[in-house]
Amino acid sequence: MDDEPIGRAFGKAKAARWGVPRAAFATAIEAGAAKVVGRPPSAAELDKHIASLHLEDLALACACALGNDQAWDHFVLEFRPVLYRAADAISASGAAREAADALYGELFGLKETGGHRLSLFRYFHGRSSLATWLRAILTQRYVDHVRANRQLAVLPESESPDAPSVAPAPATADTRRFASAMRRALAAAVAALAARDRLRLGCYYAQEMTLAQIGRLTREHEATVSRQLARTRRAIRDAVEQRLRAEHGFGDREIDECFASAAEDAGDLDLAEVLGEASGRKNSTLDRSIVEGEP
Amino acid sequence: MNTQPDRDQMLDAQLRRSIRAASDAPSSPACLDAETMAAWVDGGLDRQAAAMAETHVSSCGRCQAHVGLIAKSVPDLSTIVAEPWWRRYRAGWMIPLTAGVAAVGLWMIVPTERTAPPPMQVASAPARAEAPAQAMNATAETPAPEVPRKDQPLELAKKNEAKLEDRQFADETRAAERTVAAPPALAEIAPKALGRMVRATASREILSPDPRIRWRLLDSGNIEISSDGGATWEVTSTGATAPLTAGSSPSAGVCWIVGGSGTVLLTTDGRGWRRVAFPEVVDLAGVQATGARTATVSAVDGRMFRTTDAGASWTQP
Repeated sequence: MDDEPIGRAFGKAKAARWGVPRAAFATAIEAGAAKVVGRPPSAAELDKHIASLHLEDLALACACALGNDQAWDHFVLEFRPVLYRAADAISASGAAREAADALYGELFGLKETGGHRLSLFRYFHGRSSLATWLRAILTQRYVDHVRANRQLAVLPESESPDAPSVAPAPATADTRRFASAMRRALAAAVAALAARDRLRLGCYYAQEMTLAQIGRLTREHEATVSRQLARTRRAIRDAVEQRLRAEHGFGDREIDECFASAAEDAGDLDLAEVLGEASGRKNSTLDRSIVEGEP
Repeated sequence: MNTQPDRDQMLDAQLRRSIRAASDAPSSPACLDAETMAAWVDGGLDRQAAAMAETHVSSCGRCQAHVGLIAKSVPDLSTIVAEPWWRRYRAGWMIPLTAGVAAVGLWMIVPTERTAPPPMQVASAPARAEAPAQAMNATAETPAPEVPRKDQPLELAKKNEAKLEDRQFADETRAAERTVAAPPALAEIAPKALGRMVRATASREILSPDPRIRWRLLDSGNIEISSDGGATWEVTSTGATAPLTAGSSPSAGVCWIVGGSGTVLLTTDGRGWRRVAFPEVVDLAGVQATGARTATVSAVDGRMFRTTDAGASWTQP
């Protein structure tokens, strides 16, 4: 392994100020590069990898993983506000703050293997800023916590004290038929979307992200996001209508009934299954558009 | 028949409901780990890896929930950026002016308490002779964040605003912690403050740097809090069974309390107490805290224990 690029990276990262041994820093860089390329990287791959790293953050993470007191003081002062602000933005109830507080133990490394502390910092490879990585860790913990609690808290609807006491009006055979046709058509239309279109749709409808937040993720201007969402909705509607006409022979009146039944239908679209099928599709021209850039 | 808008609205409602339900999808081995997710969000993946990440997230409810929260965890600064720069500038120069006027006013009103209030403690601890001015100088050495210019691109301006906010937040925290980490020697404390400290010790009161907020240890193991300088008190339950002996408040709302049988309690909101795990069943006599995560506890046998992670781990210096 050519040591020169790592030496330059070591200097650029100012790793010496935290007392990080050069060998430990080199190991961290090489581990990150190996994760990216899936094998020990070549010199060229290592060069390219190093050029993309947040080196100072990586040095700080290495120092914290090694238990350097100064580095920890710096980390707590600089990144605790980041974590707390993120936690407060995620949840006002304080649950995310608890998750943030609980992270410190993992970051320090409470578990030991073979006399070595297993610090969470060893998973930080510098491909993002340390702040974004911390936010990602925090949100991951929080999402898993919420999902676990939701699973525990779920009651059958009939046992739920909030369950409505008045049963809905029984659906007619026609209504059920229209609703079923609509669900299938909608699922097929969503499954046929390009990955980026599904991503925007999911971010907008499921995650309730703002156009600006979606735009930051997809590197698009929010006006573009808005335009693309409108286009996707039009495409879904066209595809649904077309399928209802072609497969069921419905006319305008029946299609209106389908849309109306979908609005009244309490059943959820099994989108997870649909999206699973969609992600399994290969050679999608629409998916390739991500790599090739937006038209 | 004009059914176009109705269909659009119904489709919108159906999408909103249906896609939200998909967020409960289980995780899979293909889910992005936090490091890859962060790299994707920060644009640190190459094109192929980014495309793979995008394809997966577009189809995975769990990862979408994850990325949605990451996006929301960054403060939305669009309203700040949208404000004209001269308005922010006008407000900006008023901040030090207002602070200055307030400082002069306080200096005139309370001439005997010019020293920054130290973290008050029930148990005595060795006083450190660092002057508070040093802490202030240390804070002042922090380079000023860039002020966004009108002609900067929007993204850069947002980044600078984010840095500015983060820096201000960090500076506030740092200033508070440095102030409390460097309590003046007893001789330097104004007589009135010294008297207050003595009274506090006698009545087992713990004063926060904010003179309005203080706590009082009760024999029952519970703690009272006052938010009006001791005029009124409200009991808060701690669940502690051992007698409480000492406390330390490094900032308003944050207070560490220690007691018998290795009892360590911590509040970060002034009222809710959390039992902090302590490695030994030993009676604790004193505590000196410099933040919500960092505290040094002394046991009756003279041993000291230090935590820098809110009690998740303890070391003996």
